[in-house]
Parts: sequence; C-alpha cells; structure tokens
Amino acid sequence: MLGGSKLNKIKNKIMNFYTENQYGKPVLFLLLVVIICSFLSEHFFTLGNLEAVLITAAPLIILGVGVSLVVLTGMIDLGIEAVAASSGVIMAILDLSFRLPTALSFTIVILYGILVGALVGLLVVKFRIPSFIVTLGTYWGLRGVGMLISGGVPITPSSFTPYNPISYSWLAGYVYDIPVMPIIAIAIAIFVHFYVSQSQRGRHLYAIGGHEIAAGIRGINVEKNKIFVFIVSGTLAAFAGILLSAWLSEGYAWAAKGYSLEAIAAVVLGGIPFAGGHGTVIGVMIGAIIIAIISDIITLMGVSPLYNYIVVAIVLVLAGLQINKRDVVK
Amino acid sequence: MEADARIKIEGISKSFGPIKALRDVNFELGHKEIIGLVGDNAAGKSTLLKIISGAYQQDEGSIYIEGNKVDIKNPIYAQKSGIEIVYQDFMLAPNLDITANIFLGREIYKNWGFMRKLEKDKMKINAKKTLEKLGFDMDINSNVSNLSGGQQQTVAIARALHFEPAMILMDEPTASLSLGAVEELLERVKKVREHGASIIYVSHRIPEVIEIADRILVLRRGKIANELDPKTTNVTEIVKNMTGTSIN
Repeated sequence: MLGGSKLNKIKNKIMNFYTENQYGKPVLFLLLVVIICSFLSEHFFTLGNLEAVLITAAPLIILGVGVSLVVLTGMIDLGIEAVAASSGVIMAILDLSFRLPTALSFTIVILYGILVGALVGLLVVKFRIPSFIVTLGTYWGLRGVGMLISGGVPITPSSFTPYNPISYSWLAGYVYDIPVMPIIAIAIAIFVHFYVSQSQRGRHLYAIGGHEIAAGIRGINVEKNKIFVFIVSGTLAAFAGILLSAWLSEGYAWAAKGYSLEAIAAVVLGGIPFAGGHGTVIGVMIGAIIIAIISDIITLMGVSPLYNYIVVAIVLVLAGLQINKRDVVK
Repeated sequence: MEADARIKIEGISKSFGPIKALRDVNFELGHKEIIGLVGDNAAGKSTLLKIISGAYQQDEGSIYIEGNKVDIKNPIYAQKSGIEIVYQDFMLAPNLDITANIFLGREIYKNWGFMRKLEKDKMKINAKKTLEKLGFDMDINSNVSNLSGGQQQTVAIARALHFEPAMILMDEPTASLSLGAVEELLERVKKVREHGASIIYVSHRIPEVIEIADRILVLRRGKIANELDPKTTNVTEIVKNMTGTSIN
C-alpha cells in the first residue's frame, strides 16, 4: 500500500502538472472523462469505438484549431459552422453539377474560406465592429447563402442524372484500415501547434491576446495579425466543410449545426481563455476529442442525443471554473 | 566634435480635437545628455514622448536625428532610429515571460521555409546577459504576471536598454519603485548615459529630476515655459514654473 508521504508526492505531482504544465488541464480533463466513460460502458474501450470517436472528432478538431487562433488573440468566430456548411454545399455542386476536377473544386472552396475570413477580419479591424457581431452575421448570412444555392435541400449524387458518386469521398475513407479524416485533422493540429508555438507570428498572437496595446507599441502589426487569424479560421472551416461533405456524401446548408459552439467549447476545454493569450493548439485538439467522447458515450448508453448539449454545457462550465478570473475578464 | 544634436525638436504642435496638447515645442537633446522634462498633469509631457517614439504623429513641426530630418511614422521606425521608451504603465505582455517581453517585436529568428522560427535559446542567453549586466537578479523564465510592480518596471527598463539605443525616453520610470530601487535606477541611468545614450527623463518626483538631469525643461499647457539649470534651481522654482504661479 502507498504510504501517506508517497500519496502526497503523487498528489503534488498531479497538481503541479495541472497548474504548471501547459497541457496539464486538457490532459487531466481527458483522463477524467476517459475513466468515467470506461465505467459507464463496456464498449467504450474497443478499437471500433475509438475509431468512431476520432472520426466524430475530426471536423471539430479542424474547426477548433482554426477558431483557437481567433480566441488566442482575444476575439471570437461564431460563423465557422456556416462557413463549413456553405463550403460543403459549394463543393458538392461544383463536383456533382459542374463536374469540375476535384483539385479545382477544392481550390475554389478553399479560396471561398480565405475570402470569407479576410472579409470578416477587415470588418473587425477596419470598421471596428466587434468580432462577436460580425461573425454572428456570417453565421446567419452564410447559412442563407448555402440555402439559396442549394434550394434548401441536400445536394447528393442522386440529385443528378446520370448518377455519379462524389469524387472526393476518399477523404472519408481508409488508408491501411486507418480512417483518413482523423489523420488529416491530427496532422493539421500538430502543424498549427508547431507554427504557433515556434514562429515569430505565433509569439505575436500570444502578445496581442495578452496586451494588445503593448504589442502594437512594440511594432507588432496588430491589424494584420487579426486579419490573419480570421483567414486561418475561414480556411480551416471551409476545409472542415469539404470533409463533412465527403463523410455525409452530400452538401447540406444545415450541416455542421452546433459546431461553432462545440468548437469554442473545445477551445475553452483546451485551456485557451476567452481573453486570449494562453493555451495551446494541441490542448484544443484534446478538447475536441473530449467533446466527441461525450457525444459517443451518450450514444453507447442509449441515451437520447438531445442530452449531448446539456452534458457538453456542464463540462464547459466545469472547465470554465478552473480558468483564472483574471484571464477571463479582460 | 559632434556638431549635430542627437535629436532636434522644431515647432512641434499636436491637438486632440479642440484640445491643444502641444504648441510650438522646440528643444535639442545633445549626445550623452539627460534632459529632465517636468510639468503639471496634462502639460503635454507624455504626448511629446509618444510623438518622439512614433506612437503619435505631430500635426506641425519637424524632428531631426543627427541633423537629418526624419518622419517617425511608427514605433518600429523609432526603434530602428535608436529610440527606446520606458512607459509608466510598463507596456509588457503579462502572459509572456521576461525573455519574450524583452524581445517583443524584435525577436531573433531564422527563416525556416515559410516561417520565421524563433531562436528561443539565443534570446534567453541574450536576455540573461542583459539582466546580469544591469545587475538585475531575475529568472528570465518567469511570467511577467507573476512579478511585482517594481520587477515589471525593471523588465521594462531592461527591454529599453537591451538594444543599446542612442536615445531613451523615460516616462515616470520610478512611479512603481521603492525609494531604494529609485536610487539604484538613477545610478543605472547615469551609467547608461556614460555608455553614450541620451535620455529624456519625465518624472513627477522633482528632486530626482534635479539629481539626474543636465538641464530641466518645464512644460506648461503644451509649451516650453522655461529651461532651468539643476545646479542652481530648486523644487520651489520648478513648481512655480510648472504652475505659472508664485509660491510662498
């Protein structure tokens, strides 16, 4: 049996990891959720279920990574789910209706994401409209765009004759029995994490989140960096939309419903406070996996998926409790 | 002989709407000279420093550095021209460590494909050297949010001195320091001057301005009201010039 002093040492080590290590909070949250879930369902720790969790998490990881840079600089992007949904619709139409080569359709949709991000960034920076308002606008506006161009119905291969499958469905397929979507999502998260933690621009994003005026006075181009984070967010949202469309084999204007808030929840769970300046992209990836696990365990337990939102809300509030007040109130 | 002044301010004026913050300000700062700038609240001291450091643009007037007319259009230009500023409210990023703050905006990096990869170890070594040279005993990995007000001020000063600027603007640098720390700072400022820097020193603490300055300029309602010699002036005379009234 462990002696009292040894137990205290372990407790101190865990507390140190929780408070001092930048990955401490999300990793311990993930462990806690995994332990609880393994007690709740015997099917939780199976390979098939792990695969399902990662596939569910993949679009959320990509959206979360994009929006994490926005939150890191003290702003917010509520419009990502509408960018993703409308991107899926555009991709499906270009692919199924216009029969464009996949690479060309892909390029057009990614350019659409870049354009939306740049427009949002310009409105926030040049017209000084709060990001909350601008992205609430893109949330509704781009849903409308998706509805208009799709006629409000899903764009599927069976909508056209002759029938042709979606050419980019391999994105939702498998390579050596490993699902492609999680591989792409994790690769994006690792790449963005490396960029943000190791590059000069990443350092500047943290500085803007910490003290915007001080960053500007030291010669950091605050406006340019703010536009940059919205472009990244828009681009990754468009890419997540393509993946979702491949996964669902359709482009639907109401796809990705609720993903904006889930991605922002992943950001908070990952340790980035709303005021910005702290946290890591890998933490956000872990946050997205936690949300996917919650969704998964609800399915495994046979509980109505409607409870999903309530459980995510509770976890989010718990995550919020551990953030310093100083970090939240800017 | 160095003929040109380090910096020459000629006819600088600045308004914020109907308020005239600065009116036709003229002065020169010589090499290795310390000018004490004093004035009542809203006399225009901070506005003048912000214009010289590129944070504000003047409405009228010209600035010359080493005899050459310059347009200090932003803080980067000022830094490249050898001008550093220490702000009263530090202007540090509290979420970053001491090293990151010292190098903020002027990080050491190497081009690594499409990205500028930070040379973190190199910056740490250099930051440590600067702190040691200045006699500051601090852990360079400490987050600024964990430091006391005095320590944060120390980091702000170390940041200004790190790049060995030709000119340092100090806006109330001792506002958050204890009396002992003020003495230390004044000694350091004198040493910095000996190394060749010119300094504009703004403070409400008039005795310390008398102690450190070679000349004292008094700003009143946006204008230079008088120039005083610290060897012959006293607190009463300075306050009288600042307020424009006689004091018994």
